[in-house]
Amino acid sequence: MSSYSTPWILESSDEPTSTGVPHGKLGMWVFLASEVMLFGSLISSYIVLRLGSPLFIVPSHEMLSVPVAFVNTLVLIVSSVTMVLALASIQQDNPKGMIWYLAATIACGLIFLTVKCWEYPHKWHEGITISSGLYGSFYFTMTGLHGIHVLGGVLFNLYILVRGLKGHWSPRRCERVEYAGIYWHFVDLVWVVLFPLLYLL
Amino acid sequence: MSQDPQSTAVANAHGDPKRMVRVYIAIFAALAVLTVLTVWANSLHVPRPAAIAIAAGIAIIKVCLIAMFFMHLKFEGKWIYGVVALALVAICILIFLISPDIAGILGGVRH
Repeated sequence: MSSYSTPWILESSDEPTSTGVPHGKLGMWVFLASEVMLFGSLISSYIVLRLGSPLFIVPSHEMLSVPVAFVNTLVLIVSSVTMVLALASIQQDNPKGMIWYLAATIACGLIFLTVKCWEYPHKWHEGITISSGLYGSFYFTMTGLHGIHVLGGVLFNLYILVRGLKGHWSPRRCERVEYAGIYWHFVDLVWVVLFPLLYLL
Repeated sequence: MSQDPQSTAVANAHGDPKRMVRVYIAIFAALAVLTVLTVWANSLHVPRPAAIAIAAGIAIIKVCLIAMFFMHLKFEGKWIYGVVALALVAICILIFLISPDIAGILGGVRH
């Protein structure tokens, strides 16, 4: 059911809005809609070229390090649940819990990026580079773009964490924690699609 | 135990947080199991169309779970749904635009 009729949104945001939705939340969703189109266009291009080009050669599972990518996928899923638990903690007026869960989310994001930093040179060693063929081009473009988004999410969460350590967030004022969460879950959501697309199929 | 009405309202907007924590853990478990299932199904060496259907089906379920519960889309209203619908329409257009190419490729049409 709609949450617009509930008074907390108007009271907890800085000022009333004509839509009833806080500007920050609406802005975040509009931004994510544009991100859907960005990743959607890359994925549809991948599908067309993968099906249509005889030059599209997919490396073997051994070369792709599927187990490593599988563990990385689990790391992102864990980070998603810690992020949503951080929001639940602050909603229950538990700032310490929020800080610990946020720290865990940031740690998971950094683990994901570290694994990617290990994976890229491994791929280069296997002969998969951004200029080695269509698969390499798509692999590094899509995972690189996703990696930049993960880095952005880590920075956003760091900002939330630093403000949290200063006691900025409370059940009355936790909108930005929610926005950071929405963004972070989107990053997880994109990886859920990229993982089978690039590593398994 | 007393909570001020406003923080209670915050909690109610996304459901009761204590109850929701159990839901989040359940969704996390489902996502982990579905991820394991994706990799396991891929290792079975089923025919390619079936492998694509399984992987795509599981990915769609995971995306829905994340969007509905972790991103709280389940609790949103018309404005947010409108924005999401716009993005989905754009994705549909992208898929419809490439469908002739896919049909041509699968039909063995080569230039």
